[in-house]
Amino acid sequence: MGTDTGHVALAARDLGKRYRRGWALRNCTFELPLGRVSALVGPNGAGKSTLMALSTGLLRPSEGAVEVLGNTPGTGGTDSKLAFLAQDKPLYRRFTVDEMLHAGRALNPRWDHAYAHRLVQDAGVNPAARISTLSGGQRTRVALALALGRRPQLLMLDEPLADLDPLAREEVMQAVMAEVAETGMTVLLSSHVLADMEGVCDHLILLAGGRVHLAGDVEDLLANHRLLIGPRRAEGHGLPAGAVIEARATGRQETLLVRNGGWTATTGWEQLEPTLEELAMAYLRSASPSRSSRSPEVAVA
Amino acid sequence: MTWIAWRQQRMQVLLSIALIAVVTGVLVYFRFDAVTYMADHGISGCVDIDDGRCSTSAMDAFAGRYKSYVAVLPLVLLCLPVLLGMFAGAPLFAREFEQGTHIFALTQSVGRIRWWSTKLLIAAVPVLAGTALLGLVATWSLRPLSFVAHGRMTTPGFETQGIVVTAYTLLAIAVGATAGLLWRNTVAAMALTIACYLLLLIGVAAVARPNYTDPVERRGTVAEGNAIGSQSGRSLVPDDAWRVGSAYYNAAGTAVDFDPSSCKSTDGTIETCLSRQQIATISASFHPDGQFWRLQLTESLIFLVAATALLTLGAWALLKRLL
Repeated sequence: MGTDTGHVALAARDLGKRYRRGWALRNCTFELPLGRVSALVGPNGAGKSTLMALSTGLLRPSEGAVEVLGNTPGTGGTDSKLAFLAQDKPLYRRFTVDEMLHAGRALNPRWDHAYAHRLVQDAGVNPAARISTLSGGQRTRVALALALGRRPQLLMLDEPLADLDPLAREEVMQAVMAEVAETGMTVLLSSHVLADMEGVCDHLILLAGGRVHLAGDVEDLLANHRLLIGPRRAEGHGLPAGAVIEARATGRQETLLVRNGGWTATTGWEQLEPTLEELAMAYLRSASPSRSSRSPEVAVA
Repeated sequence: MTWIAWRQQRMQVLLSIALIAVVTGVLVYFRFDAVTYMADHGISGCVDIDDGRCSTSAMDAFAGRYKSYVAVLPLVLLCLPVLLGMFAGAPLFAREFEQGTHIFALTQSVGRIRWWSTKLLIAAVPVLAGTALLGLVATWSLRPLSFVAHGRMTTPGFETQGIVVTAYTLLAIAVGATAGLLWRNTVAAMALTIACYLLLLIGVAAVARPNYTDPVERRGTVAEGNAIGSQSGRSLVPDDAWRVGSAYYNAAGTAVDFDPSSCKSTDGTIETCLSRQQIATISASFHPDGQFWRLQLTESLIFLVAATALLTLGAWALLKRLL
């Protein structure tokens, strides 16, 4: 990666992680440029948490390499410019919120205590309350304050909304995006629910089955793909197989997702730029053999 | 990190110290109680029965009064190191893994080894200091009761006095902490602590301890040999010594075998039986009370080495393994 590290927040090169039960992540190569808000999308078990654990130094790659702001993660603690919020928001349950913030200060030489305090206050959490008494949303806000108190350049959130009610989801996302707007930090946010991310992220990394299927700026990705809608043809759609990500037939109509200008020489199709959700869903379906082999009726979204 | 470790451990540490303080208080109380009793009954400083003021009746009364205390106390002191060590060591890392909080701690700007060593020190040092005090107080407080306890060289006196108490605690902490680190399960780590502790304690006492240093050997007549185990002070083996072997010789001085199973009820006493088997002299080998600290030191070193090896394994695994 060498020369690119100046503007790259997170870079993976042929990254792979193998557990005893098999590969969780393989041949993973992408770059997340600085300043992006990136959605890390994939079904459960796609390797999202593994990728984050490799970036924080909790795990070590079985092959390839990962670089966080130009540094390789090690066992000496997580890079001080990276903050990580784990999926189940682990906090010391018997600590009070204040004590938890104190712990954040004790564990981080670079720590903005006033800022972390303000974030907790903004969330309306009582600083004297024990962690075990907090609601899921409050816990997430405290964990987020602890992550942001490190004043990171890269913030990684692993399924931050997974166990929250709709109202809390919105509040947490707003809190994150407010800080992003203020600090300009890079964010990598994983989720298996794309709806949480639409309109928020400008970068997408799509993982499925331990592989990167799509990585890049949302604008470019959308511009590089077209939805072709036309009548279903008995002889097949006739497009080069490499260009068609997914072909779905519904009754007499067929919908194709085509990439990299594969649509230029075609006739008789209606061309549309896909939405982020349509794009991601098409890739996820095509990466999942069990789902794409089902009958066309089931595939109607 | 120190503050966090203390905040996590403080309840545990304070309870352990309170428990040690209570047991220490009991020890001190009984020491003064026994010394006062002995002074009141004119048997101050008596460790054996003799023809003077340490008479059979006075010493029997003394033993009767403190018999149950001397019987129960070692049970408490035998359990304390493994229990304190188990509660300090087993949940130390296992609970973090169970609750996922290791992910919080290790994704901050603190290295794994610093996290591991700080937690370990905060959990272990107060408990080790407490048990060190406990072992020394036990040695001091049971000294006047030596006659009742038959000294401090045999089980359970040896295991519950001196510096080995601390060494046992250290081992229990090391087993618990490392098992918790490897298996990430508090209950499993606790069970393993007890199992390893018992195995090592019994194994070391049976196999290693007799060989720490050469025993003293003493020969005597059948009559003197027969007094072994009595508290008359005329025995071949002092009552407070740890007897590890005996040999039998005929009048010519040749070693012979003694077959206790051929003794008949018509022999009356064991002396008659020995004489009938042409045994003239008996030799006994034993570790006298004077070797107490020598044996304590060797045993403590064995446990120290075992604990260090286990802790090193834990640190190595923490650096190598996934989290």
